[in-house]
Amino acid sequence: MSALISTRTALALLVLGLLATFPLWGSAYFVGRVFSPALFFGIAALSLVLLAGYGGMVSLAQMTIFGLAGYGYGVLTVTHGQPWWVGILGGLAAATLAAFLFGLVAVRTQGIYFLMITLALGMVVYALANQNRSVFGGHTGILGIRAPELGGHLLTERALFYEVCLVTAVLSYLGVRYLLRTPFGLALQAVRDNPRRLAALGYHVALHRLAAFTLAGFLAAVGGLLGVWYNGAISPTAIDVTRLINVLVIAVIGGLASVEGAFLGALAFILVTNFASSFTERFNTVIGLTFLAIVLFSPEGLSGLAARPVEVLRRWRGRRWRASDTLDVRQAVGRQDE
Amino acid sequence: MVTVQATTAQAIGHALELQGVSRRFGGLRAVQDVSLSLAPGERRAIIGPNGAGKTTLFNVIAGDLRPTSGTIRFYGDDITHLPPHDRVRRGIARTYQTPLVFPRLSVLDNLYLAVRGVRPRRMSLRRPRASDAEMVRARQLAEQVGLGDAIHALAGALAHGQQRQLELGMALAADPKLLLLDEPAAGLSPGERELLAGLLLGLDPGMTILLVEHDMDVAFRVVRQVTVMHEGRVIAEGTPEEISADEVVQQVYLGSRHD
Repeated sequence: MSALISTRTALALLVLGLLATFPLWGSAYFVGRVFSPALFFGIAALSLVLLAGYGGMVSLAQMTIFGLAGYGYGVLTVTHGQPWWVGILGGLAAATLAAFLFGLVAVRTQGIYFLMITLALGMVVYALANQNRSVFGGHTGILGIRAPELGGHLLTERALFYEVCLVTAVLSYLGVRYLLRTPFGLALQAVRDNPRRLAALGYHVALHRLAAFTLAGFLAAVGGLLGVWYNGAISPTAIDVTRLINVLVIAVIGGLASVEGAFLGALAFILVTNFASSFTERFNTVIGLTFLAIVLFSPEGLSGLAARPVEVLRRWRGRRWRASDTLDVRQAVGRQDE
Repeated sequence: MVTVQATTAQAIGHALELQGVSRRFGGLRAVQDVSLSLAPGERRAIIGPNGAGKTTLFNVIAGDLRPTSGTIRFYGDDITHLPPHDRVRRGIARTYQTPLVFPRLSVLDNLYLAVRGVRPRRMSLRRPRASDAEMVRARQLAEQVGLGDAIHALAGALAHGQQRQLELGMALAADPKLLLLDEPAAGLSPGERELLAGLLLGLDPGMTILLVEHDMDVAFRVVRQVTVMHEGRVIAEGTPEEISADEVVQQVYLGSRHD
């Protein structure tokens, strides 16, 4: 057992070492155009994995929150000429506050209704950003957004930006992994499995959901800041319905209940979009087919595919609770007529 | 109708007191005008045929459902409108007809959550250590309900009987003053029933227990009072012996209904 853990630790360190030195041996294109965006989109997908895979809340508003952090940074630094650190704090605060407010509306609903409400909220913000000129800059959005400078280097210099993304992504990854083992994270997983039961143990389920939604919003906002530095501009296109759904596609491709999967999914998504678009104009079809193949053949996503042998074992062990889940449904239906 | 007053109840006050509690689902009157009182430490079973309203009554007491009318008092406090999580924190714990555990969490995590639920810092962001009071208590509970060897197993991978044991452990984590057990013996093998009866008889005698049960063997060994429900109403109350001999009850169970 301990040998297994140390193998895993060794493997993790190896991967981390390769990633950290990537700008030294990787091509400029892969460092700048593939891995960097994969890392910050991965953070956005991670916020969705936390909500959907571990909290049972499939939110379509994560990219809206991601975008609002960018708008916050842009409005403060460009429109109001504030220094970058004000932009960072303001962008994070605005997006997290938006997540809290979205949460207030959404957390009392479940399943498809939760999905629809978060989609509606995302569309409201999109329409607002598209039509409001005074703050959001209307259809054009906000241009000329400059990333912070670090010791005379602009943070968007290729290798530096990559390393900043990597550090942020690793911290987010470790943070979420840690969170899932805390009382808060355990209760969140219990919310996913059975909210009613959790209430019967003394937990305030709606409050718990709201806290998780706000926290995931903060995570998406962190990704959003990196995103807006990368693009140097933000416009309503960044938060349109396609983007909102893309992050769900990323999370599902990676594995909805997998913390690593968020980044794997983002990498796969960016590779497919970049390469398919150089072969064919119909790269959306390619993404659609990839998505379909993954949902059909590996419902636990790429991370499930990578861990196939482990997965088979787990599935065999998990068969029992799946059977009892079906029973629960029957029982719940049966309970109605008592 | 047989009525037996718990004479000590007047002196100490009731642990649980229901006055004229009703619950309707549209046109269906699932529970009608039920009044019930339990003295502290009393052990009582609610029995009755399917559809008698036992589980609905249970859900009303636990707070999963609000009564359409009537009041519920717990040690004198009106709890009629309290949400379920507040009732647990006051000391009302329950189990369900089908064991409800968190299948993708381990036995220990299930119990730990249950312990944490009734204590402060439920939303703590500090990772628990094995030496934490709550973790120690969770392990004790696992031992108490006979799952000491299975603490790292996923709850969803446990056999049905073990899930019942786990659920009981989760209910006991609240150190409840009132324990509500919804058909605790359902689906258990004779051996497991024996284990369950032993577990229940071994609980703190000060703990008030109200249970719904079809299985008379287990129920009548554990309780001293029985309430019989039929079509949403209480039709008889008494000791197990009195109930076994009651004519109305026999009619209900052996059939004079025209279905």
